[in-house]
Amino acid sequence: MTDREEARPALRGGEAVQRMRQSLERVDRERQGLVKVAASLEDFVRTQDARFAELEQELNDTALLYVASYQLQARDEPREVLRHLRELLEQLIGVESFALYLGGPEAKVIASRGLLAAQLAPQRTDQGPLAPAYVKKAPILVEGEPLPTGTLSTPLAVVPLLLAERVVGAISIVKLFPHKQAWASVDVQLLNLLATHAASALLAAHLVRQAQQSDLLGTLATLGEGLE
Amino acid sequence: MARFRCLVVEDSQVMRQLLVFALQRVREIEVTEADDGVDALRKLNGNRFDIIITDINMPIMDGLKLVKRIRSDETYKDVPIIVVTTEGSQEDRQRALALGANAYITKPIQGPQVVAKVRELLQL
Repeated sequence: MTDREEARPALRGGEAVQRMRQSLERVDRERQGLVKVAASLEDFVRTQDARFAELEQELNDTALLYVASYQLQARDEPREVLRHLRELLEQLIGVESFALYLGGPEAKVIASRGLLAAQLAPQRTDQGPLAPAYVKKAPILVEGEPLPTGTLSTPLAVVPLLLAERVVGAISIVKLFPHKQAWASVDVQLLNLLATHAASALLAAHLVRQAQQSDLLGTLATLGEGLE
Repeated sequence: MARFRCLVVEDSQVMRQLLVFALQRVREIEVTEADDGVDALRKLNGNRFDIIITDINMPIMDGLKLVKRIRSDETYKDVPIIVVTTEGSQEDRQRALALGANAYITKPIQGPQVVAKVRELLQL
């Protein structure tokens, strides 16, 4: 047997190894491609999950605002409106103590929670803790996490109560429940909603009660005359 | 079509409406509302419910008494109960769990949190 004949099987073996190596490289490339696809799919699922959670939260917040507005406007007794205001503040925002003032330049407390009667003296609206919200016509909130301890003279938030662009009162939020360390974004929206809806709900309920004492349908009939 | 029936017991209309809104997002669940413990017992009588969510502080019959009554009823002794508490009422929460409640959620409630807890207990 010549040297050339002896080398032939060795060459064949080399070819097979070469082919196998090429196959392995191809499989590895495919594997790397699949790993990339899997990673991007995982990213996609993660993004979708985050977006889903975000949408769920947005939906929850919208429901919360709807319920707050609906419950506030659905009352025809001022006392009921106040009861719902208390509920909204306590159950939806987590307010432990607050005072609701009406009027000016010396506003009087018409509802409160978690505060002593002795603390509930009338407050001037042109100076002191209520004044900035009366001027700004928008809720003023103390920021921070955790929020500092509030008092009636340094409240955590003052929400002006607007009626036809006029500030007719304010809610002074003094304390939140201990677990509530900071304002949530929906809290700010809720406080804005109270600023624009609470006074009109109170007035509407007051007028309904007055009208019921006389002639509700007659009163509504006169409303029709004004619209013609 | 709803496969599960949920009873929501809450005296506050605001909270009740919010809970119902949240639960209506789950297609498999049909929600019935009750104003307080007595109303809840009335609605439980002769009906099938798969899960009960109850507030603790309610007039007439509070949530703790309701949990106790439900657990003493053979029909409902294994039905999951979620109690809704305020953060400060650690004692109420412990009492509710000791009486047989399965879980609790804290006010102010978050819809997704309520749904997640209900899904967990109903194994949805």
